[in-house]
Amino acid sequence: VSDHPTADLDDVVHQRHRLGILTIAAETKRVEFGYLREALSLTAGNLSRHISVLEEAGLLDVHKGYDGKRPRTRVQINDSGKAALAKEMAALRALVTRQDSPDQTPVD
Amino acid sequence: MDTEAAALLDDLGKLRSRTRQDSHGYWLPLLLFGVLILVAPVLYQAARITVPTNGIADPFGPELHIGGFRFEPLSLFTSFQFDVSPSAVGFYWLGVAVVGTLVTLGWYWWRAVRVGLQPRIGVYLLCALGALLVCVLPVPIAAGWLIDVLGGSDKASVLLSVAVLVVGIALTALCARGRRSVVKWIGLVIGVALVLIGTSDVTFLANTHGYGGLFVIAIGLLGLAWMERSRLCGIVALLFTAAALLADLYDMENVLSGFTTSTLIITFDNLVLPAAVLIVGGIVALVTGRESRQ
Repeated sequence: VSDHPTADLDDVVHQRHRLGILTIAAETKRVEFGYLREALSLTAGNLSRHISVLEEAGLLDVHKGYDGKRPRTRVQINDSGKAALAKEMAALRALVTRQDSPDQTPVD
Repeated sequence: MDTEAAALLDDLGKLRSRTRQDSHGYWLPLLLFGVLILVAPVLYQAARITVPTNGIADPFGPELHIGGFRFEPLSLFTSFQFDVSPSAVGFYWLGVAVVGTLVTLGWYWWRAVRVGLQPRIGVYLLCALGALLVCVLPVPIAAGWLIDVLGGSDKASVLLSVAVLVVGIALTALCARGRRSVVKWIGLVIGVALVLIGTSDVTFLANTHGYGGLFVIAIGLLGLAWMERSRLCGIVALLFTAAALLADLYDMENVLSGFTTSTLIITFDNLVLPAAVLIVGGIVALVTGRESRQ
């Protein structure tokens, strides 16, 4: 097992847009599909696929409902999602720190 | 890969800032509570009564009877000025706390639909209603008894009350973390009890002018700052807390108007600073929020 920070990167979470979805969701209780689509500049189809991947991985909960007659899809990050996001951010920061101080790079 | 990680972290930081900016809506509660505080002197003036020679019948507001036990739930909200109806101002501050909290909830609900971001409003609700409950139940019930146990309002007694509160907070925080056990549950109960005792006594001692409603607003705003994760809201909430303490403990009319017996001027002088902090904070939040979105 490598001790390089990349070993801590999770394939499900590490994708740029999925990381964006988790980051936005972590800032609030629930976020609407429309807000995510606009903030991440994604098509509805693309966003749906990324949300499905995160939901299947057990990192997000998806709530479907109505405001009047208007259908609304809201996304909520759960504890596993928060932990996965924190782990990913720590791994990214470790990578940046490693770049800033290459002398600390361990010799394999 | 490492350069890519730095760029990714930078992008995520910007995304987080944008989301926080979009979700910020605290300017409205700041302005609302600021205006409601500024209006209070007019209510105090309108609620003036002629004091009978044998004193006011209900100096601490209406009484509540629970199982033969009597207490005045609005005693923290009644005025130190003897010529003002305690019930009228008591119900005014109760109304400010309840209506202000409900309007704030409605505002965030409306924004959640409009913007698409639903905040963790439970934090604010817990702080605002929790503070209100503490002010109308344990403080009026226990304060008289606590003054006897912990001493009066001299320096040593105040320090003892603060120490009880700090120990309670520390014990609660320690026992609330990690896995629960029987010992931790006992510690948690003792911690919460000490927090309530300390809070009751400190609040009672800090409430010489009867502006306890400001404390409820202050705790609610601190919760709002936590919910919003906003530095500006946090600074405004802390400044407001300091101004509320000053209004409740010091005769501000000595500084602003000199000696006066006017109910309107005395109340205005005491409340103008906390109101101004909220109104200025609200306007700054509104303007900076609009600028950053443009």
